[in-house]
Amino acid sequence: MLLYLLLRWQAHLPLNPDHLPDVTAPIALNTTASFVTNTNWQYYGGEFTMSYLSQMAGLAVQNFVSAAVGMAVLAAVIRGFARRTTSDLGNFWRDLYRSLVYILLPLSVVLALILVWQGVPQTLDGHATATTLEGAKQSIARGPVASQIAIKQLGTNGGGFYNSNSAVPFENPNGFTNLLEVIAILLIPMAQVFMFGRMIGRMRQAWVVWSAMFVLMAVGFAIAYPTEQHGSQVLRDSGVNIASSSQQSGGNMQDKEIRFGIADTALWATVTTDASNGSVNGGHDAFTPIGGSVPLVNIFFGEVIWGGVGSGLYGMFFYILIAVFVAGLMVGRTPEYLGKKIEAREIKLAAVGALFVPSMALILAGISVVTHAGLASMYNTGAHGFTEALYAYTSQSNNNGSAFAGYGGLPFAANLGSVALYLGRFVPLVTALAVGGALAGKKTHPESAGTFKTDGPTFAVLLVAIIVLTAGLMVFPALTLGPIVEGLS
Amino acid sequence: MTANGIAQIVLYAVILTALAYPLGLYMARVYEGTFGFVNGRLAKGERASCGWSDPAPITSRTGRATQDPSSYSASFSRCCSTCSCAGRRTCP
Repeated sequence: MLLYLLLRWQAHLPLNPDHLPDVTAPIALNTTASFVTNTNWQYYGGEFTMSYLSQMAGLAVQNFVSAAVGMAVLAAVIRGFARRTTSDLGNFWRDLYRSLVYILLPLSVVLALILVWQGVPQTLDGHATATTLEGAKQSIARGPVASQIAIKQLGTNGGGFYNSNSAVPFENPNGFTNLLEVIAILLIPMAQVFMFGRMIGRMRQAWVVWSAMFVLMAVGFAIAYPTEQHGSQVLRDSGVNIASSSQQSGGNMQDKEIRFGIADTALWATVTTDASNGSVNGGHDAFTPIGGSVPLVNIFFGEVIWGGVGSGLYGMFFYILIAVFVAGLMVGRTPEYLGKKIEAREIKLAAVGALFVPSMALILAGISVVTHAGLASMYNTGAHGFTEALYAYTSQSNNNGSAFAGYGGLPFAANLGSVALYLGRFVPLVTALAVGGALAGKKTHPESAGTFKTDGPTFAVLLVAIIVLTAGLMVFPALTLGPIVEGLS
Repeated sequence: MTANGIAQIVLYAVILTALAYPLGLYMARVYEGTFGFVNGRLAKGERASCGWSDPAPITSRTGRATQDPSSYSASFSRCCSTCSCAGRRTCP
């Protein structure tokens, strides 16, 4: 509520040196939903919509708190695995405080200072005015950028200070900052896998989860990078020289920064959609059809390949429980994970957690392409337009926040998106807590000869297969209507 | 794909894992409350932020904690896993 009111009244509040007007109601509602749910889907351009007060006291605060909420919930769910016959999963406020004060704040301060050192602005002055070589006046947006970018990357938020996100030199000035920012996206989500191993006292289990996530990430990158380097059929047929040489990157360079090239843009696109970050250093919309389907499928997997801070790993637990259940059916034993029997209740909750969001994304994308109000938001027509809409609702439902640029923030799309944002965040979150609570009340059983081992490569392979089959098959029919048709035509 | 591009990606994966591993171990200690300064000066803010939501004082107010030894031990473990008891050696 406070964030919504802040956005709606920002013109009458201080720290607005460029006299930006109030944010309109649908955009304020969508933005509030977007930042509270750790999504940072942006139907606005930051530098010409948000005052410094809105950026700092509104959006940056939510960047910290929404990330800390995910981390606190994950800590509670892990305690559910680690503890026996108890109803105590810890204290939410304690975990929230610890996430903020001992983890997010120190890391953000360090990263923000490094970014300032590398040239990212950090000022409360308004736009700078410069005179170009032709003598024209140019207004250059600046503001408290570095502090915003640090938490945007570390908290898997992704909402840029500038409209073009980390493709803008003021957010991401050089190769070094690009490396730091892309590391920051996955730093906490990956660390949480090791944290899980330590808290349950079995690091081998953590390495199995790490391997499954790493393989899925590597496969995504191994598709996106060569496809972008190879370019599209249209580009090859046009006679343009797209060969890679010491003088040029080659391949499909549309909407990619020359500073970063194809490798780093493909890496960022893969990583930002593996995590629920959604920041970009290039345009996903201008990727080749197959290259562009990598971010889409990554998000559709439910943000479990590392995923959002907290939300990624608790989302992965749903798939782990399903994998354990399937393995139990195959070997004919009661499914067990970490010595706890997985019964009907946990499997039902895991199914809700794993299937609710992708189902909702497909339904909302369907609504948006069969209604006049929804169709009005599409920028492109045909298969690419469909991919835009599918990406928009997949991204918002899974709390990613990246976009196929061009999908417009009209009131219908903004309100439908708000529904996706809230349900996509809180249904899996509450389900994960229920799983944690159910597991915490159980006894642990010692492993026997018939127990399916979950700390070896066999389980990692099974886990990858379950994720690909469950989420992949759901998105495949929609992919055939969008990127696959486009790639073949 | 170029050798330079692949080298950058490998470097990324190595640096990321090398940083994430120790951070993960640190985070585990933070949430378990076993890291030094978690119970230090900053813990005051933690108790202030979560004291009102702590179930332990309600248990104490019923008096069961001191009257019934069996419920005392349950109360003790419950209390000492919640934030208002962080850093205390004995249950209030």
